[in-house]
Amino acid sequence: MRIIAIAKNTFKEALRGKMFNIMLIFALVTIGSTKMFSFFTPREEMKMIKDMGFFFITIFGLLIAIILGARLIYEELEKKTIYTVLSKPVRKYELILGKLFGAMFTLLINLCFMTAVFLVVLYLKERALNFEIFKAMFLIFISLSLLSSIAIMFSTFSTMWISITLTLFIYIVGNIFEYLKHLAQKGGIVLKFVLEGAYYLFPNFTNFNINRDVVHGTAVSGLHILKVTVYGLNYIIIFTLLSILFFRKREV
Amino acid sequence: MRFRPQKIHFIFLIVILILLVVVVPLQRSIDRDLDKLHPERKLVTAPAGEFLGQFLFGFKDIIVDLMWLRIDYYWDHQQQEKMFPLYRMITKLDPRFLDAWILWAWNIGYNLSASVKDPEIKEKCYWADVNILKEGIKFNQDKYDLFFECGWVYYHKLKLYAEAAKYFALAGQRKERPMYVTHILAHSYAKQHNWQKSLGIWKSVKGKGYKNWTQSEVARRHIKKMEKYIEMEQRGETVKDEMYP
Repeated sequence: MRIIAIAKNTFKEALRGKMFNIMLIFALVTIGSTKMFSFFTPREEMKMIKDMGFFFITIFGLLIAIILGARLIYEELEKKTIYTVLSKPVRKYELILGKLFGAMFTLLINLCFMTAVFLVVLYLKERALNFEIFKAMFLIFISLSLLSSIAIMFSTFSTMWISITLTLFIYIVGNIFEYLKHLAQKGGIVLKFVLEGAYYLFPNFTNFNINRDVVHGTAVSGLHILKVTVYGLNYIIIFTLLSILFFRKREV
Repeated sequence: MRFRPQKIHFIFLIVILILLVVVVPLQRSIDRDLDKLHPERKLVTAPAGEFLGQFLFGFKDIIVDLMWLRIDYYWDHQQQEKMFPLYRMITKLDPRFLDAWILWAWNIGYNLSASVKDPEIKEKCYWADVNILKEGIKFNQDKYDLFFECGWVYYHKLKLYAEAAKYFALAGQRKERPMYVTHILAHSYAKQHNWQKSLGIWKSVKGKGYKNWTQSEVARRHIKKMEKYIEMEQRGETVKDEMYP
């Protein structure tokens, strides 16, 4: 119950912020983009609209996930409100879990809103609903939740800006692992060991990106979605455990 | 039961370690899925364009779109020569972008070839067109489009009807192909004077009982024509190419 109360409070705080302004910008940009590409052939136009939609959803989602995650613990510490919370019968792990669930719920609402706008735009153009989009959106949600959990972990021992920088670093590294893995094939045994180790140690964010498959109409199996979901949840648990570990060690 | 903090930390670390071990087979299995979904993953060689995609942090589709918009600008401003490097980059970043392959090949096979007078260079352009499409086919085995385009260049420009028929037949085996793929396959058999095969295809078109009157009418007309040619050949008469343009 205490975790749910903290999660609710986190969501309410996010609502008080500028999140919905970002959503509005997204909605306007996406709707506007439908007119922008009408000089292309219908197939090219649809590709452009879908690409734009996924791009804005991912970029706004990234911003919200990272900033929200990095702010949650840091602000409580800065404003010293954490002392009020922890003076009540609330454990540190409950606070971390509550914050994480609150961030995930905020991301979910945000994604639902953006997906709804996106679907309306696509429906107006195609007069048909492409349900594969839900698969892509679900994986975007898992990857953003993972990013939030990473940001929360960093915020348990560093400032907000350092947390944002480090989370972005993990995101960037997590997107170039395929390249590093290929590089490892050409290197010596030590390089191969290090890079392959890193490939399996850090979350690989390319796993979550099936946007291109959806745009090109390539069917992605449900089993693959399940595997990537388990993969994402695995890392969310890892980073949450690390957050709890670091936060327990912190003198508050 | 209450654990000491050190014990809790130790349990946490063990759980994290177990979860990290679980990641290895999971990632390998995901890699196998992705290799099937994206054949280009296996074909990458540094430092080719495919790798550039890795450094765009999941936003390569939007970069592809921006380049595509630039191609449109070059087309409008009569700067076709600047379009070709962009086509190459786009197809490296997104090998499943069919229009990029089609337009790249078409610009070489039709526009560039039309701008030169030397027949030898013209033919080189047609072959370049075919080679681009064949490269694209490697990444788009499930779509009819590039097979059809490739067949069309063999048919219309190179006049190699047996090769054209091969590609049209492959296009016809793909899902969601339009009816004209079957029609052009029948035409390419007719171009080789293989009237029987052409007749067979037109009969199958008619046999499918299309509600579309034009489809049935086109099939009926061609069936009549093929039967006439077969009869002519049986009588020892030659069917001239002009009779089947």
